[in-house]
Amino acid sequence: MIGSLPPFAIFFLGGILAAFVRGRVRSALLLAVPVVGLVNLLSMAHGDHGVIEFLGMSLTLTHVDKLSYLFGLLFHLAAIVAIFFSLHVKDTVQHVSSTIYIGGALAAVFAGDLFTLLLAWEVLAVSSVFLIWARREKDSFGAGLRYLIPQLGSGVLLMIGIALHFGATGSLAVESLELGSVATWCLFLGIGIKCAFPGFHTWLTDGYPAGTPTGTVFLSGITTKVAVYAMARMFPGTELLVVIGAVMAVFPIFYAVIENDLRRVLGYSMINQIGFMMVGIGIGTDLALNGAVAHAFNDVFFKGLLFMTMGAVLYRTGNINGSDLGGLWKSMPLTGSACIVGAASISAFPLFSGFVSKSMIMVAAAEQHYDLVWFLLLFAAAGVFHHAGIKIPFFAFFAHDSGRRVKEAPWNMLVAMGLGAAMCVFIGCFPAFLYGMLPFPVDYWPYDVFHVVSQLQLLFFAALAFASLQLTGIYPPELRSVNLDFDWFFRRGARAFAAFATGPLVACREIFARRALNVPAERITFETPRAFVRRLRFTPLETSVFVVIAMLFVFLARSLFWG
Amino acid sequence: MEHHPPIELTPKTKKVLAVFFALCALVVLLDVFDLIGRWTGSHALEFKSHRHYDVEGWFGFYGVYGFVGCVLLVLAAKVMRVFLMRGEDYYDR
Repeated sequence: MIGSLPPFAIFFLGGILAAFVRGRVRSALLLAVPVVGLVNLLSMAHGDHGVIEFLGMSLTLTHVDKLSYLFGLLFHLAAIVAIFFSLHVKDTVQHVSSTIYIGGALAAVFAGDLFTLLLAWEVLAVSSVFLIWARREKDSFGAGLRYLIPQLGSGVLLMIGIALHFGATGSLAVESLELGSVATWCLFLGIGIKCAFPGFHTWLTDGYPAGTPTGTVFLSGITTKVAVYAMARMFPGTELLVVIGAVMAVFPIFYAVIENDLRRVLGYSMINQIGFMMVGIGIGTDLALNGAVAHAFNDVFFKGLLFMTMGAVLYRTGNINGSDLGGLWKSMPLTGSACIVGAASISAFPLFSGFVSKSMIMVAAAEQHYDLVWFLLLFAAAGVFHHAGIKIPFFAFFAHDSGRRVKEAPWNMLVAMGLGAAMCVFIGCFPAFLYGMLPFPVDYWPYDVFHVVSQLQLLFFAALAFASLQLTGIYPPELRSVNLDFDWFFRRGARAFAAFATGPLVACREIFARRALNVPAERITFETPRAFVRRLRFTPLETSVFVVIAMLFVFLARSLFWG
Repeated sequence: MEHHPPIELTPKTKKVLAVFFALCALVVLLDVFDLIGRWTGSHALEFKSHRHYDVEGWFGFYGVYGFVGCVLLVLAAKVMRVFLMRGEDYYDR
């Protein structure tokens, strides 16, 4: 039995069962799911498993090779950490959706054909949004929708791409493709949206800070990494990705400097890290692809660790703005220490995990003579330390003492942060563990004098810049504010479009009211969707469930007719 | 809008900063070994021999690049604020 189950099935089953049990039984069940999954995965042989016939197509539910195995292992380990982190939560919606969400990720990385990948893609989108909606705050519903729409849009593009690709080639294989046809462009953009390509990235910086303290930890580890996997699988060596990746590595660090919401700072820094991975995939040499995949692996743990520490801060203080925090070291020294380990790892300090993977991409860029890109990445690497490495721990735990005195994070959060931190240090000190699992043989060793010295110089002087600017008062203060980003086009643009589109309606109302009924036009009102929902007395969460079920129906109908 | 006061320079902070400045000086001075190695032809000391770009061989290149890069980053971000910053309730209005 074990060793033959599709990895996602264990998580789907566990997620459903979790809805029917409470308390310690649920905790035990949730922890058992990734452990059983891990045992199942470790006993799996490379090759195809679970081939089924569906709508006249032969679908491969589980295709195991080095790349999918690595991501599968990654998601199992990340699941153990993140589930531990959220054990104290008493919210069925979150427990069920996060478990199914991880199952969706596993279904995606082990998908042996494009149709299975598409189904998993949709499961990811729909299950993850509940981790935002479950916060049940005033803004959560809107933020969730602004997160969900691009996710589903990505699915639609993927579906169109797959349909066209299947029509043209008759193949559903998940294999390396060349950009050129409409089909491949649709696939590329569909995956790209989930990779947070510039211009399509605001679902991330908008959605992740809106999630629950624990939900965002799941979100940070899964969606973008599945997209990175798909990109590495289908578009390695696509030169355009080098350009896109360089842009992604550079522009978010400017936003990260002026952003006040520390979880949004991490969101921007995540785009920056994915930028490195995109460059690696775009270069496409063995070293570059290894670097991209290794960096994705490490990113799940160090970014997850940082999101965990900020989640713990949010959980204890109810606030995550840099302007309102500070001095928390006195109350939460353990969380603070974990944060510093995460910061050192993302900044690629020697002996921490980022150091052993980021440099593979840098070296590959230099070897392939992407000179400008190399210098941009070096700048981005210094900038990462500046905002994620210093700003996050500094404004949360040190800086100006906000006077907040809270309890240290709950024990389960501390254990999870400890596991995450241990992983960061372990991979940083023993990179051979990770290198041995990479898709190509590794002929690279990060610890030589030049690399260590140059990296220390870069980081220390980035820190020196921070210290000098703080001491001289040039550093911009943390301010409560909204910084305009690409979402302006969607949010303000949508409003303008709505005004434009309802213009004729308003005009008709005028004429109808005055000519036919002879009453003031204001007497006839239009109902906004939100007012309609309010009149039905549904909570946002219930409404969300209806919206999602409706979408699932549409999707099912869509896939049936297409099949 | 509230402003944070700059770092309070308590004796402890001053001590931390002093150690930090000393470490900065130390990591730059390590480049001296490479220069000595190049002048004396000692391959054991010349640790930058497998560099990809000439500038990497310059004394303190990484330090200067990191420092200048981050100062420019912050200054540019300050300018960006002028154009991009709005009130917290911008999208609710």
